[in-house]
Amino acid sequence: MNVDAFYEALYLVFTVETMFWLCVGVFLGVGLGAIPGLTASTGIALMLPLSYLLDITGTLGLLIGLYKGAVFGGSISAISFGTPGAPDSAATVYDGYKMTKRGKGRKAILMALYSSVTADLLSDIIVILIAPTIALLALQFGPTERMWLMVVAITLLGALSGRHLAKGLLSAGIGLFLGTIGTDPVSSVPRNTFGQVWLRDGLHLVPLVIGIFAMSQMLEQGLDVLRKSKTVQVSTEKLGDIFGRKTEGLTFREYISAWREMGIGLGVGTFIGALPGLGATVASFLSYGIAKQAFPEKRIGEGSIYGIAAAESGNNATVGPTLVPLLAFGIPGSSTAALIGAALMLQGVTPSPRMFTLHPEVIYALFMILFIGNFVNLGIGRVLSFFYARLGQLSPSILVPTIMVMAVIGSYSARGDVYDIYMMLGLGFMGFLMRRIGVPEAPLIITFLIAPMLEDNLRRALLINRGEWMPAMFGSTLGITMAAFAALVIVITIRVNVGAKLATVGRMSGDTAKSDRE
Amino acid sequence: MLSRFRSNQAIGFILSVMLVLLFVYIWTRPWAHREMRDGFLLGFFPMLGVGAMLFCTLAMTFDPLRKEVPEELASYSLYDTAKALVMVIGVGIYFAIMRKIGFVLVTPVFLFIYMGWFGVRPWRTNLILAVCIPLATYLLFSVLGVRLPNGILPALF
Repeated sequence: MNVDAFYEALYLVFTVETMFWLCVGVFLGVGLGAIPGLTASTGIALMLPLSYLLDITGTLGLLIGLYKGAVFGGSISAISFGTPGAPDSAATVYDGYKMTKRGKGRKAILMALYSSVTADLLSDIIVILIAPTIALLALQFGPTERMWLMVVAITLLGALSGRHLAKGLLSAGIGLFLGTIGTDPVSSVPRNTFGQVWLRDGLHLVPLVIGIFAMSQMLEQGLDVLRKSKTVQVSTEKLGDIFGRKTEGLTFREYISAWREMGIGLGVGTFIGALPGLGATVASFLSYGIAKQAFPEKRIGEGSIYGIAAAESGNNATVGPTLVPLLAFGIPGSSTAALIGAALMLQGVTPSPRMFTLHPEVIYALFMILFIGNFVNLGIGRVLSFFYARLGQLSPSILVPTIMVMAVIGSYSARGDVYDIYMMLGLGFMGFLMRRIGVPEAPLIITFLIAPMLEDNLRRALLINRGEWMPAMFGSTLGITMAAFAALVIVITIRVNVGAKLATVGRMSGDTAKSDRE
Repeated sequence: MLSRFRSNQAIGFILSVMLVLLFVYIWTRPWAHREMRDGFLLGFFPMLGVGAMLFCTLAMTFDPLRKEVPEELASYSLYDTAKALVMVIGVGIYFAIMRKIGFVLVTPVFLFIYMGWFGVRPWRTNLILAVCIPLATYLLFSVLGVRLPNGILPALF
């Protein structure tokens, strides 16, 4: 352990500014999570331009706080109105909304909060313990192995991020193509600029991210508002009655009695979070499903705190582990991890295993923020849940134009470049069309980020092997193994279609949740 | 008949045609065949990206899910897509005017029109929100040190 770096990280993290931005991040995150239709990715994309104004710990505090808060925040509207704030919390609707209808909304929200924070905290400890070890292993990789590792990550993302393998990989292909616009990463020669001088610097990350994640979603929401197909179902009961202090809270005994469900959520969430492509929604439904099968006597699905504990610990346990591939290999495993990686890059720190030796103070600071963020989440969630439940009723008719304005300001303020705005709008419309035809956006953003590294590693491997392709591609046993694994993933996905099965589980569960609500 | 044009096969076919044109465009550019000092062709990765996309769109045309209509597309019409395009163009026009006239003067008009379009009623509430949101945003960003376009505002005072 680098003691000097540890002290430097302490000095960076325990400042008023970092703590302030961490609190702001959690505060905004829980709010975003509680508003149906807004996700952690949208929030982080909109906040990314702020990283130009903040130092690295302030940025990490804001973004990690926002992520943690948003994953928990989704449960508030799931419990209050039976409408999950984000798909991650859809499994919470089954038990949470039934409890609210029985007048036990406060108990349900407290169970969601405590199980979220418990699993998040423990999974962060696991991350802190395993990430440096994996990074040490990753440091042994040469360019061939690194290249194949990226191919494996792209393949896994394409295979698992939707029900149609071709569309997942198409998204990765779009990211790869967009990543080549600008200059060649090795010799800095302009290419693929369509004759436009302003494209010589390549597509800038901030307008890309805001366009794909925020603007496209607002276009979709705007259309939904115009069609009046999606309205926030307002509970017939008064929120004050549901969450009032006189209503039944959660006892310590009840909280402790859910340790098995939280344990399932922790295990499933940590494992799934560390894998590229799956994410919090799958973790939440799997934990819920396993707990329901394992403990039929707890009547999970009929308005039980144990169902909430399993689902909420499952989704929050993915928050820390989703950063493991990013920190250990420099490859983001999810769109949120990609956005946090992008923020690090904007701060001049490239996520890679070498980060542990080049910027150990940033790694320690990140671990500290991950850890402390849970307590901030606990405090803000405990005090302001009632306020956030009201926020969930905020009309999308007001939110959509406001967020569109924020998207414009965010894209413009990053560099003050007019082209960034038009690029953001164009990419936003492209993202909207991608959503319409069922092409996931996560593989695009991740491949866009790793495309220069992929090219760099392939060219390094070729240089080392004097331009010979075969030894450059298959010169090591590990490289061959990873190539075979990538091929195996594609074959298995085509034959068994894991992504389709997971998507079906999610859709069926969503339908059941909807019928439960009705 | 209509659902046939919304199927993965039709989408895959249309995208394939567009990608073939893109591939031809790149192939015919002189830079694409320029050899770098390490012996690598400058156009290799862009063409790899287009090739990968083309492979996937062709797979969409022939794979077992080819007849399926994407769930998100089933309930949307071309008219909806046109409305989304109008929204985007509106935001673009808002930005172009905002740069010249100023954030504080143009954003209330934009918000008033869009919130009115999205059904925020009564109009008085719409107006109050359309004025208050930009003012609060301007103040917040000023505190954060972000300079939003002032436009003609300084000339007025």
